[in-house]
Amino acid sequence: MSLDVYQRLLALSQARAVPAASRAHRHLSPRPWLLAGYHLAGEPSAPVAIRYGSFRDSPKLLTVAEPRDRAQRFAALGGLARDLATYLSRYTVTEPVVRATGSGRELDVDLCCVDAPQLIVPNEATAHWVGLLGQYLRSLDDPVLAAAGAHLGWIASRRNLPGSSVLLTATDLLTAHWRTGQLPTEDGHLGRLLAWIEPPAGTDAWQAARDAEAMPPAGPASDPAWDAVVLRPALERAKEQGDVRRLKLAAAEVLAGPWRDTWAAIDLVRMLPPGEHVAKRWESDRWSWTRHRERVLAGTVSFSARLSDVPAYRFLHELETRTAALERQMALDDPLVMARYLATGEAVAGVVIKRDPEHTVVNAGGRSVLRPLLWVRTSAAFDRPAGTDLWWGKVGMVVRAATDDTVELMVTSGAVTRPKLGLLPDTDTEVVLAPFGPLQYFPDNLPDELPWPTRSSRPKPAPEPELDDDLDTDVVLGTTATTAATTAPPPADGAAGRVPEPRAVPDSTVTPASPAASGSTTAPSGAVPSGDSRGGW
Amino acid sequence: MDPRRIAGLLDAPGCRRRQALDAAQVDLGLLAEAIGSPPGGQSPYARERDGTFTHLATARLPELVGTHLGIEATEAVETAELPVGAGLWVWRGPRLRLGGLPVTPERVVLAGDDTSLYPVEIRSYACLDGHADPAKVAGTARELAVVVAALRQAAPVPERISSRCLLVLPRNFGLAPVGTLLDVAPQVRRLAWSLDRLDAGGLPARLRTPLAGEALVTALTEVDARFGDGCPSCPMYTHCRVEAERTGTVARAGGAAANLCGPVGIAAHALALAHGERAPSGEAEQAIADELARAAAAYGWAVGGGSTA
Repeated sequence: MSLDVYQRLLALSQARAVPAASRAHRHLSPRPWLLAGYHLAGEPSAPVAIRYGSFRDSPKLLTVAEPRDRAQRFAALGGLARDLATYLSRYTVTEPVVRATGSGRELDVDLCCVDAPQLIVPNEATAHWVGLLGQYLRSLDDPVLAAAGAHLGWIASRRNLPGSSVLLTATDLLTAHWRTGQLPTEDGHLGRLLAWIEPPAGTDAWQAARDAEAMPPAGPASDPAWDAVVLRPALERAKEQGDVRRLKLAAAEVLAGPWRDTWAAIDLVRMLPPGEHVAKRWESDRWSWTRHRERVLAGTVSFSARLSDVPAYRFLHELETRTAALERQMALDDPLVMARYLATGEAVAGVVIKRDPEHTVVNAGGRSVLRPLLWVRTSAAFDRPAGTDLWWGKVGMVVRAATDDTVELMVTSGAVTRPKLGLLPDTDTEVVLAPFGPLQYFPDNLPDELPWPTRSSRPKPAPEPELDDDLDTDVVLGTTATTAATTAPPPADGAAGRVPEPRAVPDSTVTPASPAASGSTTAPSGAVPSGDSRGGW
Repeated sequence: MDPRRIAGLLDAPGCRRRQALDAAQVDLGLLAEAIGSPPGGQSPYARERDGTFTHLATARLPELVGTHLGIEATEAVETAELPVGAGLWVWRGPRLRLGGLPVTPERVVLAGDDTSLYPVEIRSYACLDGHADPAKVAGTARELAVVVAALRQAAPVPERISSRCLLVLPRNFGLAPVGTLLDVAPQVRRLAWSLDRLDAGGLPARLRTPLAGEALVTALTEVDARFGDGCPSCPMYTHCRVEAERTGTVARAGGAAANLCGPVGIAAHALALAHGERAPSGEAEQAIADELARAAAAYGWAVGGGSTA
């Protein structure tokens, strides 16, 4: 997007980040649970040190003297699991909510948690690690650890859903609201990002970013030099003499940076007024949390490694719906986000110079209907073709013609009856006509044939072994079930258009393994087919 | 030079400085010292894990090779030259060449049926539920491409070296090896393209002799660099970015900015075009100016409290 480039150039020339949003577009819980940590290089299931908690000044620190020792790892992660359970237990209060059910005409009262937990980590890599930790914990046969694994699995699965605020990363919080002048990959470094947004007095962003880079990384992979010089002696001392003080000290010191930076990122975003739709999106997270708790209580939590067929189609559909909804909501909430669409020419800003509220056209039925006309003066030419739909709030219009500085529009909805003509903008009003109208619904009726990306039984050249570079190693899983689902009409077809039952577990999940039964094959990989948030969108 | 370094050429396409760095076979340790960049390297724990897994996986190789390639072998045999026939070999410290560059992998494992030789690569990043980190797999594929291309150059019949490689990774959180086939033919072709450019690069005379310290940096700086998204993996990165910051290069802000601004290479010039403070010369600059002016107007509207004036 050209606005993105322009903002980056501005930031580059000013050596300071420029705002990319004027509203907070992520929900921030009054009491989030922060987690920063390191694992042993190359071994995500062997944590060395984790700092976590809801209180800035009194974080908990967990260290493992011999991360590769199963018993010690068990004990340490047990502490984490109990603290997580304590934190989550704050979010069990429910309230009755009236919801539409079935075809949307009947109303029903349902219980929804009044608030949901929120986990905030320094960077993407740590967020990914949270998912791996959850997966690892689920593979253990300790009930407390497995429960924590289920919760972490749910938390990690929300990360892939656009608009969800259950698992936030500090780097995402900052890049969503500010634009820097460095390489986009460098934005993944929390310290560098903060240096761009608030460089210390007397230095420019370049120098501040270089200084930040010299500090220990925000995890979960540690600095190789630190591993060799600090961690190794500390771990050896802890192992041989049972003295963990040195390890605790080193861990506290090295994790203090990411801990402080993550809080700083939260503080920065808290200064922005929240966008109007943020609470609505959080409601969807609250519903998901409510459903997740129900599943935990009923013992029916399951995670599938990979989705295919109908669940994959549904998940893809949900991703697309959420992406479209998020773009629309952010643009309507925030002029700085709307500016992106002005810059690309999808939206139009201008002044109404002329109106013709009495204009009528003859519709297909031969009746004459009111279709008011508007002329808007713009600063730049509108280059989309005639017939493009634009909206001004709830008033929908279609472009009839455009010249270098004027757009002629015909109102087609929202103000096409005489009593509603007052809703039209007056002459000399400044308007922004957006490509976003009222909330759009995308029915998730199953098509006759599933789109190819969601199909699992792809025709393969028979003699050739698997050449996919996505490392398809386990191709033995139920091929009969999946072919049946694609060729025969899916059994769920009739019910597909309706809002699914909240607790419905996808019927043709290929790996229905429960976490306890075969822990090593379950994975979070984010793809939890939860049909529980649809109501919110 | 190890395969990883040569594979790094693919990260920075079109950067002449990076090409010169490799064509001149500059010692990276000396370079890091000269430009004062932090020492890289691997964590001792990662190395230990690597060693343990390689040991375990090597023992299980005959089985994996049998499953995935249909080659029967009882154990991996040490070799000191390119093997012929059917079997499984470990070739330690081969001295290969690729174009004019030496390629010195620590070891190459090869599995052969009577028609082809398949490289086998053992890596210690986890394959979770049949998924490994795509970025790491892509990196491994590029390094394997270097090995394949170098072996082809060494082989009397190049076609005998297959581009289908067996990648062996630890399964899930344990150390049990799983194998998967990876075809690196596209990477081999890309590499060939890059190496053709490398030979044509025309190395400055000063870089033909071994240099160190300040002299090395000055000699390298004489060659044009092309800053971009792939730069953080280059040994010259910390040096080049300071240069890009000083000159205010558009590319410092990333590939998207560089692509949009095209021939306008300096951020200040691009902004001047956007604000109408500089007259665009030519059609290309006019198009860039229009695009950026639109963005500038939209940004002004948004931060100026929503006024179109």
